Amino acid sequence: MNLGAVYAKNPDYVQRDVAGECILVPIRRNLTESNSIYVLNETGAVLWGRIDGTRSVQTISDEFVQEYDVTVEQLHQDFHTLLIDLLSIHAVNEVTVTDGPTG
Amino acid sequence: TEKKPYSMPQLFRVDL
Repeated sequence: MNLGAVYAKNPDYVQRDVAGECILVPIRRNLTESNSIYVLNETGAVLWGRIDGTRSVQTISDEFVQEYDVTVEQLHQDFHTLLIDLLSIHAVNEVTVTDGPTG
Repeated sequence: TEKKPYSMPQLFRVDL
C-alpha cells in the first residue's frame, strides 16, 4: 500500500446522512451496473469524509489514530481494504502517486 | 482526550 497516495472522491457519487447512516448514492449509472446504494459505518464515514484529493493516506491515517483507539498498522490495513472497496465501485480515484513508504 | 472506540471501516452495498 502506498501511504503517499492521494485519493479524490468521484463527483458522480453524492453523500447523504440519513438516520445517522452515511449513504453514498451514485447519481450516474451505467446500464451494466446494478441499482445499488452504499452505506458506510461510522469509521468508514470518517475516513470517507477526509478523502479530499489533497491529503495522503498517511496524513489521513495519522489524524485518525489520534482520535480512535487503533494502532497505525491496523488502520493502514483496514484503510487499504476500504480503499479497495471504494475503488471497485469507482467512488474514489487516485490522483497522485508519490514515492512514500509502503505498507 | 480519551480516544473513541474503533471498529473496522466498512462499506455495505444495498441492492435497490
